Amino acid sequence: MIAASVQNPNATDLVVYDLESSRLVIPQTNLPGSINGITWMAGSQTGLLNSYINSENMAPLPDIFVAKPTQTPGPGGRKGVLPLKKVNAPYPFLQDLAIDSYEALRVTVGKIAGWDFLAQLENAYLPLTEPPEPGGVENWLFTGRGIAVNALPIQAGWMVVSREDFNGLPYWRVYIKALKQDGSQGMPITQMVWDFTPRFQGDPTAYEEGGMEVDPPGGWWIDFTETAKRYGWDRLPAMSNWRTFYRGTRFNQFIYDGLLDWRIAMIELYPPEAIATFTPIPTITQTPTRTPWKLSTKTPTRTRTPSPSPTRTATLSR
Amino acid sequence: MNNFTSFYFSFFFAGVLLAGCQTTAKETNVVEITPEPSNAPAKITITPRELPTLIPTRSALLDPQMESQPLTIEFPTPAPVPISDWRSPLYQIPWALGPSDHFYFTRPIQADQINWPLPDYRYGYVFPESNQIHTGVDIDAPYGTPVYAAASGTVTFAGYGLMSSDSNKKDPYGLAAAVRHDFGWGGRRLTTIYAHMSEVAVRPGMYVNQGDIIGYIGQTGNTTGPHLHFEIRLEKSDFFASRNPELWLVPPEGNGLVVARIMNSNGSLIDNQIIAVTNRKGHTWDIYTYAPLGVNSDDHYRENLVLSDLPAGDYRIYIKYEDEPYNFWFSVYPGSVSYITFQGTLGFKVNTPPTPDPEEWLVTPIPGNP
Repeated sequence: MIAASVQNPNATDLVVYDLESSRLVIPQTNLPGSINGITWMAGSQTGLLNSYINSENMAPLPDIFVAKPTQTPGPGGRKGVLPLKKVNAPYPFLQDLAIDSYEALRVTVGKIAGWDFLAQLENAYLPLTEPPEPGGVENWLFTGRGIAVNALPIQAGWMVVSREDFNGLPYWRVYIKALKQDGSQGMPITQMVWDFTPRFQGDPTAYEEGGMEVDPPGGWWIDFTETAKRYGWDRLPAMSNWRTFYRGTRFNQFIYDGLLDWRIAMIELYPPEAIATFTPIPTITQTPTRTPWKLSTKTPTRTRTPSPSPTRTATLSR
Repeated sequence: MNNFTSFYFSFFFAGVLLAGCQTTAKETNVVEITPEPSNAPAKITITPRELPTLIPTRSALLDPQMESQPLTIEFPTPAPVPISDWRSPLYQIPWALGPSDHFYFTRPIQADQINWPLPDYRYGYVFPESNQIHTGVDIDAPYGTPVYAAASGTVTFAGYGLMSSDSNKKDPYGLAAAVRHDFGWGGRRLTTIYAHMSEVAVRPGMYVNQGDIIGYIGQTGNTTGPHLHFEIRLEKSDFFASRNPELWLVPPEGNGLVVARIMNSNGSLIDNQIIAVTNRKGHTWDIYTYAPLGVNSDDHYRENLVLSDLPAGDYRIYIKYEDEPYNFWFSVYPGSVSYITFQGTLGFKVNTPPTPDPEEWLVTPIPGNP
């Protein structure tokens, strides 16, 4: 019998094969968290596993949060955004279905880290008329189902990321520092972490690679990515230009997609016409000019055309 | 026009007069500097020589010195046309190796012309013996040279009257265009301004892609010679919302820039201070720190001095402070910002841009706890 874990960017699955019968004992099953190791026990293979599977340990876990939409859908079944309580962000709003999950995640992270990491966001909901960062496509912040966590702690040594590649795309695992460094909060980081700074400090290799792996820092840390995943918040892969475009790394972006793709998530908020003609600059009505536009052209204008009527000068000379 | 507007109108007027007028700047001890070309082969001039006569003449035979020397015959050697105008291509936009970088724009003038800022009239410079400040950079180019959109966006203004909003041909910006870009920085809108053109090729409402022609170089408005006045405005298209374009125009490959915060011993910015930056070959760039009013430092760097288009390498920065010279060697890396601070008698220091203190984001107590 072979048990295997299947790693995905935002999920860990378990699958168990029986070699003798060539059957799947446990089909690919999504686990609520990551696998940290193996427990060795004495006994027959099938008997132990079957009894374990049938035990209460495999019973569905209770929901760690319950999404309770509070808004009545508008025209076309469209949903709205709601304000986040006591969150500092340019637009502290999230989609109705995502807000309960966010608030539950915020409480949990606060408890295990000792500080309110999610009290400040670089961005939450982004109105359709606001300018996004350049180069991005299908920006989830527009859907109200995405957040960009505060990235400033990485410059202060309170946040580190480690790189994990899936299907050729780099993803980042975000760790935040526990407030208490006495071992009562967090755990040591056991994987190499990614340092972005050498790429602009003259190291040719790091310059080419977009940074370099370095030893993990000491101390006690919280795996924010793992915690967020349990509340339905998935990470995004880096954009293709991440090596030379810092914000293209997207290490601080998380989405609560609810298994929707970006377009469907957008249609939850906006009419399809708004998506079809999507532009961050919808109209030109805000042009800061009171006068008609005027083009410089070499074409003679009417005012310069000689007039056949007598001029005033001619009248005076008479 | 109220007094306030009138003041800044005249203030800009004198500012743009200086643009494109290097002679005036030289007379006021502003050193003309040209970015040092990197990897540029020396220009080769080939002058066809006259073919020598193959039959010795009589006079040559009578010359005793000529008799003692062997006869040499030289022919002109064909050679390929020398390539003397090569410049490094620009990095791809958007370009930002570090968290504070935002090189989101390409150059509005193509590389077949000089497309770097006029060195003696940079952003934040002051017209000598006045308090008039430059809110953009000037790029010299021949009359009629195409001006290109530095990035994609929507044209919000085209024509005369960018500043005075009355479509008059005496507007200091002359024939100008404004492009509001479909991306921003930190959630704030970016607008680029192209001024003093001879002709505008766009109209309000048009969407332009990077590289689309906006217009053509001219000398409309308050200027004494053909050039492009290029501005970058953050958040709103306002004369007072400008930022230093050298922090937003992507550098050529292999080039970086130095960004500095020049302060006195108390930590206050020093205005209009001349600084010298010299490379190992002895080439010197003389630059001035920003004037105190009318221009804005970057939110992250909080700088008052920027020098772009520096080939990667080692440089020495020099300042004279309270009659004492201060020198400091630093390195410029490709595509990167070298951030330096100077604080009076404490001298120079290679630094990281200031970041918010953890007190600003390390929030406690925890929600959900009493």
